[in-house]
Amino acid sequence: MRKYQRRNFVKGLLFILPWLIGFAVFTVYPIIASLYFSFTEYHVTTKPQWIGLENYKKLFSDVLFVKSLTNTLYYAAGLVPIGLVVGLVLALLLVQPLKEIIFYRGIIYFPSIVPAYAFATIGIWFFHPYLGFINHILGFFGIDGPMWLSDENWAKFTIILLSQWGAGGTALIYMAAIKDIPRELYEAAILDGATRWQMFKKITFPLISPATLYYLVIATLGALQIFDLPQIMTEGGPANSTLSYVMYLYRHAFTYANMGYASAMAWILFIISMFLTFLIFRTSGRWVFYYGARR
Amino acid sequence: MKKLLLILTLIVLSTFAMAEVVEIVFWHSMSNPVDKKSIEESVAKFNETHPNIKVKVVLVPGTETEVTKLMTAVAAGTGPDVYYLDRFTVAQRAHQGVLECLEDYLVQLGVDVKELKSKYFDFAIAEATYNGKLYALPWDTDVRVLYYNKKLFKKAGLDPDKPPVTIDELDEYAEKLTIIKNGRIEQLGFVPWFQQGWHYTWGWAFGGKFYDEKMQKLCFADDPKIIASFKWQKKYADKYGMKNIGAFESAYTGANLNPFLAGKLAMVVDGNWFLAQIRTFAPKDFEFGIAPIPYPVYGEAGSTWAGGWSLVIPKGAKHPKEAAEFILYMATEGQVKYAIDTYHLPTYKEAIPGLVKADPMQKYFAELLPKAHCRPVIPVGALLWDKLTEARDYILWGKKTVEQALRDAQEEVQEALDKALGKK
Repeated sequence: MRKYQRRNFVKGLLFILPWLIGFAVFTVYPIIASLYFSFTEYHVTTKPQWIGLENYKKLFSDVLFVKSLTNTLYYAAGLVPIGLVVGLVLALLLVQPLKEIIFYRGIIYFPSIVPAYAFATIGIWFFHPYLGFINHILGFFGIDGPMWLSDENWAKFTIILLSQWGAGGTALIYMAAIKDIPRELYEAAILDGATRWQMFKKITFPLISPATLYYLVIATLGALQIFDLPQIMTEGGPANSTLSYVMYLYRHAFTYANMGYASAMAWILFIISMFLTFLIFRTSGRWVFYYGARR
Repeated sequence: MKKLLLILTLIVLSTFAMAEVVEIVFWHSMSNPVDKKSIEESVAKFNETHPNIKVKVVLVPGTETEVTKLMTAVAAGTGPDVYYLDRFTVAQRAHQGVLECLEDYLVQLGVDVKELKSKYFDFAIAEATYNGKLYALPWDTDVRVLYYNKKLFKKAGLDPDKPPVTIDELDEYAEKLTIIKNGRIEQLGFVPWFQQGWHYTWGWAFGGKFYDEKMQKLCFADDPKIIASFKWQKKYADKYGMKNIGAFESAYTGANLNPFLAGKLAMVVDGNWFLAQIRTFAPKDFEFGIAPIPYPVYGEAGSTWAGGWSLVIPKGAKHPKEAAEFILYMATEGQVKYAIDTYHLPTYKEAIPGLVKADPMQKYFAELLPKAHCRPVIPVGALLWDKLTEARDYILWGKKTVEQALRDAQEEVQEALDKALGKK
């Protein structure tokens, strides 16, 4: 490194120093600290005591830990694909050449800015077994609607359905990706006599795959951390059927002040998240296409 | 220039004058408007009579065993000076190192602690003590009774002046008072676990014992009477179905609605404080009665249990001495006023006459107090509560047998208790 290069480097460092400090203090340090705490018994107001792998051993014989983990995987398995379909369908509708499309775009995105608490409270009434809107509508078709949140077999699915209120965000990303696809590809396809479905399958879907990659990663991480809806609507009930991983972690960390145990849980979730993200990226080479780039 | 100097001096002087006033922060969770107002008025009076101390009240919502905000604030060094803590958890929080020893500061203030203790009911002092020292001063207390809707009794052809006395009668009445149409519960006679129908309520009504003080051993899982109390509750879950009960209940979540006040639940076990709510929120023509908690033949007649809150100084409080002065004021004079304003039962004996004078109906509750049970005074009281509640849910939802659920809870809490007592 030459002298002026070094000076530039130092200057550059100085410029990003505020961010570096923030990153080190508020992100790196807590991560490392939680790794240390996960090997200790730590009750926040007392000093942490080293107990080795004890927390991790205890976790796997903890019934609620296993329950909350399977619940969370269920959430992820439902939220990610359903969210993808809903978001994509909305996006396809929102690129239709209509005059008042801007208005529709606004409406579709609107629910995403409603705070979770307000939405959850409305959701309770929306899905109320006797008085709710959904079961009322189902009643018109002679269907005796399920108990939704009061039924342990339906409660998780109810939350997955309700989460689709946030699909406007996904739709927006897909909409942008669809609008980026060059017109001439479709024109050529029409000349060749392709159907709409063929165009979607062969042109649209492959060319928005970078957006799909982004969606899969973000949605998976988000689903693994699901917290607010079940916390507000059911507090984990009935019979722990909606208890998510992060809710259980939160309980140990803050209600029971069991910070060591909670840290161990956080690290296991971190490893699961890393693994799933790695998996998605690893397979992405096979199904993600960048227009104009060589494969 | 002179003027400027004068202004500067004034500013400097005034900051000095202000610095003499110590500000202490008081967190409490009584969001009920009646309770909140009484506390605020007492604080205002304290601020007036103690010009050197200024108390700032902050409303911090929370539930009995949930102290999330306190824990985080104490760990971060931003905790309050005075905190409103559920009394049966004092020993546990003191053991966890969240509380300052209040007794030390009371001694510094020149208070005769022994004499002070004698002014409160014994169970309240026992709950406020950890390792032989006061960590809290008791605030209010409460008892649980059976409330029933006289109008619904008449409609069902029952005598409104004869509430159920035994468990068998309770079951029979509950059956008669329940209306189910097209598989939907329209009106419920009774559900044991609603409101204050806790594990302790029924365990004691059935004559059971939760904790052996001499042996320092939990014994509920081995007590046939407590097992019977849970089996009886499970019968209700089986009869109506948890899903249907959940659907009935969920119409009352979110908003401050109560199925009993709405005339949809005929009988309920609730605390004495519920009386004030009935008076405030029930329709004008609401007719209700109060009765002792029903019991089986082998159980305890007229059983009840007392809980209540207390005032503590969290660890790391900036002005613990002033906080102790404030707590002393609130737990004595403040309690006298609180009892009259809110009809909460006091733990401070001198407050009883004022309460009974303000509301003669309270005499019924006050007379239950000397016989009332209190929860085991152990350093894992909050954990025991949570685990019993968890066990109850497992039982009601049919996830575990009564015996298994209680056994699991007992083993887990005993392990934590042994650890806390230094036996392991």
